[in-house]
Amino acid sequence: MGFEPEYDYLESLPTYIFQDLVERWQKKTLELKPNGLLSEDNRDKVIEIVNDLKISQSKHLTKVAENFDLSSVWWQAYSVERIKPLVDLYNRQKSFNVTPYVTEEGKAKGRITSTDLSEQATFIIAESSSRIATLRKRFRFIYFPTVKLVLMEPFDLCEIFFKNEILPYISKEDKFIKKPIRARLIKSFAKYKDDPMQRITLTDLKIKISLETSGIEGLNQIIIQGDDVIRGAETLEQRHEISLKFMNSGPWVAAGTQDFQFEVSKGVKIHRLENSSLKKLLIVLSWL
Amino acid sequence: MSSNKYTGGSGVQIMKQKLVLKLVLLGDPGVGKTSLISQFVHARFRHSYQLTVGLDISSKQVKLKDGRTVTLSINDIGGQARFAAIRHMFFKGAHLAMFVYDVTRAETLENIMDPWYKELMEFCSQPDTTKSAIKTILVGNKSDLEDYRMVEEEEGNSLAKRMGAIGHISASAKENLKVDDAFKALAQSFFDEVGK
Ligand SMILES: Nc1nc2c(ncn2[C@@H]2O[C@H](COP(=O)(O)OP(=O)(O)OP(=O)(O)O)[C@@H](O)[C@H]2O)c(=O)[nH]1
Ligand SMILES: [Mg+2]
Repeated sequence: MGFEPEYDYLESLPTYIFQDLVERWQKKTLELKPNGLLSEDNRDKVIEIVNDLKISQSKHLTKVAENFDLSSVWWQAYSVERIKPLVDLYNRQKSFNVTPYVTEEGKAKGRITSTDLSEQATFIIAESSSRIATLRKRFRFIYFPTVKLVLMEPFDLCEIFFKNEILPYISKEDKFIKKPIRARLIKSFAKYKDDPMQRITLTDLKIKISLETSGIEGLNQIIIQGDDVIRGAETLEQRHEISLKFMNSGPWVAAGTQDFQFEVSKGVKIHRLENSSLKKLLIVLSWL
Repeated sequence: MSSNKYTGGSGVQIMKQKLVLKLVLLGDPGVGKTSLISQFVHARFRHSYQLTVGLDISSKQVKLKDGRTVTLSINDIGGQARFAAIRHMFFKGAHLAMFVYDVTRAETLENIMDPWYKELMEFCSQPDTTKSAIKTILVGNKSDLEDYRMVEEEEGNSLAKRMGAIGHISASAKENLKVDDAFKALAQSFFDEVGK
């Protein structure tokens, strides 16, 4: 179709680690003992292969993150219903017609590229390329099928591309609903520590103390930062005779970890694309 | 002459045209007590915060379900801590109390039971009124700020039950949502239980 093969390397990557492993095993390209992929005899070899795959996956994530500057986006969350298997998206025709979506005159070619970030996150790019600068656009999406959510960039055209060119391939419904980030989500996120194994450690917390919510003039927000701000605030209060009433004096409007950040009326920011951070992100997204 | 006479709750007998109920609004500073009153009485809302110094009284007539009219004497009590020492003086003789919290600030709900409810119960008694005869309602104000809500509807419901309030209403003085409902339901409740 004459596209610059800019993102071609994305498509050569495995859908996810085990699927790849199983496929290779089925094709007998792996030097394994015949008594089963997960048998004792094959253990060491399988671990070795899985580790290689993990390394290649993490290289892949780093490459994606660098190439697409994902950490600069304030992602907006949308829910989709009655989802379809991902093969539909992977099998869709790559190119699409941009003309119906833009008002400018001129030739533009559209292209959809998708690749897995992890077992539960798929990165999608909808891009229009053209000689005319105003028709050159690129929109990014991250799709989390297990929680039926899509993160997308905050532009009208992004929603339009999504509705017409992506949604039909991932959902049986033609609706998608915006899920605003609210203070209650920030609170559950910040207080999520019952299970120490799954604990999400907050490094940033922003508390709104504006006239509108508290009737206090002269202050808009309080920001606390540290390795573990909730624990820090609690210990400070226990150890010293100090009142940390501000923790309760306004809505909590933003909370962040080293991996990602949620903020009321702004959206979600992802600082790090790693398997472990995506897993934690998924926990918080599942509360939306 | 029974036709000229109304019997309210608590055995208060009030003559026609003189049906006046004393209502007090209680809650933390900045929750919007003055704003709720201003919306209810004057249909006005102001964005800037002017704290209530001590006490402000206004009045408004409310129509009951059976067509009768009752005058509410609305006592807006400043929520700032510096008025704590004197505010109980204004509780005396109250028939109705509206407890107000701010849905975006969890601590304002926590403070309803203690100090606000506790203080009212301590000081409201008057010779012909028993404490339990005071009708109360719990109002979660600023419901327009849905994105900033920190208190679940359910938390308010359960507190209202524990206080023996007639109900819990989410309202917005700013958008004029459920403001009239809250005042009217409270006034009406004073007559509902005792009948005529
Ligand atoms: N968004 C929003 N703001 C409100 C609402 N009600 C009140 N406010 C704002 O909250 C602030 C405090 O409101 P007041 O009515 O003065 O609070 P108060 O309870 O009388 O405070 P004290 O007199 O100090 O006890 C003001 O800036 C109001 O504009 C509401 O329903 N929505
Ligand atoms: Mg006031």
